[in-house]
Amino acid sequence: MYNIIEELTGINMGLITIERKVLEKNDLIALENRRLFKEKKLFVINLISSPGSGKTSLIEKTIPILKAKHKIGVIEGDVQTDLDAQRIDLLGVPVVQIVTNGACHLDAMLVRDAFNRFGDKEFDFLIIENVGNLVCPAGYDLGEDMKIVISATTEGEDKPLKYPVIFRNSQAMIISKIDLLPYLSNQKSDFSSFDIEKLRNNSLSINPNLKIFETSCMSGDGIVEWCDWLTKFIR
Amino acid sequence: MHELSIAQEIVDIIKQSVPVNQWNLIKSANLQLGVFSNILADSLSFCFEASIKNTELEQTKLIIEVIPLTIHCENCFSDTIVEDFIFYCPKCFNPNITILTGQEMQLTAIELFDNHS
Repeated sequence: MYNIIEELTGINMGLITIERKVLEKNDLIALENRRLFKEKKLFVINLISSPGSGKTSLIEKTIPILKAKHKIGVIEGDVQTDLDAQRIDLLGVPVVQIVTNGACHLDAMLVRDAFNRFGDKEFDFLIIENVGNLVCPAGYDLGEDMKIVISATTEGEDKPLKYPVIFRNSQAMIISKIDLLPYLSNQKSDFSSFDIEKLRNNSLSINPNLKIFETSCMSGDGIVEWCDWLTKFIR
Repeated sequence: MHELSIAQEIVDIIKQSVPVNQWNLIKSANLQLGVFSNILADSLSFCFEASIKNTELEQTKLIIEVIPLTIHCENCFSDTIVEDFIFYCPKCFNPNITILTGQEMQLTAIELFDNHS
């Protein structure tokens, strides 16, 4: 019958036009998460970086400063182990560990299920530490208020250019491990050294509105400024 | 990378859009994939083929239309297709730009084989 209709009208009955975003399932759950967080007046950040850039260390330094005035909760995401959750647990704030068993990023459903594990606990600030990865987390909305990207001094100046999506999609960037700066410029060698201004410029070329912080969890430099900025968003 | 889970989402959406008795008659599915989506077309094709093997959709081809990155300048109002990911207007050098295209990942059409009736 379709062939007759096609002959008479010229309409291709075998062509179905749709407009379906591939990540719509994630985006719907992210929207629900966002609504729930807003209802609870919760400020939520999604912390993203390569493995070893200092996400957990930054959280360890942030909590003692903000804990006095705010109720903080942390969701940790890793491929394996609860090592990061154990570190946060020592600071006396509620923490839930997501173990992805292979997934290279957190998604909205994992975050929703993790948040439900907090039960009745009340927070005004939720930190989500994503799986160490500068690529995949960039494309997944978790329902957060903002994505924060960390790039360590040891990672060089070119990460914003190599991983533009995450730098474009973040509201703030932390240049971590600035205590290592004296060791990263070696005038005795021809080998190129780290230029922090070049990193700043590369970041701003991808995202001119990026708020940039320079921190060291070893020395404590820059942590207060970072916390002061965060408190502006927490109710 | 997770092109495999993306491919599986695509298969699910295709199945939701077509009656189950026509799943083996799906000739192709059209996907718009932006260059700024962080997903590689070649890897996605490979993963799609792996996902549909030995299923009703075994004959289905995934046709990927790669969408370039177009930026709109809020200063001089020009639109430019950019090859490198530099986010300032190439005409007036103003950094106040918005992304018009290049972040897509959506299915736009599904075609059935001619003998679908």
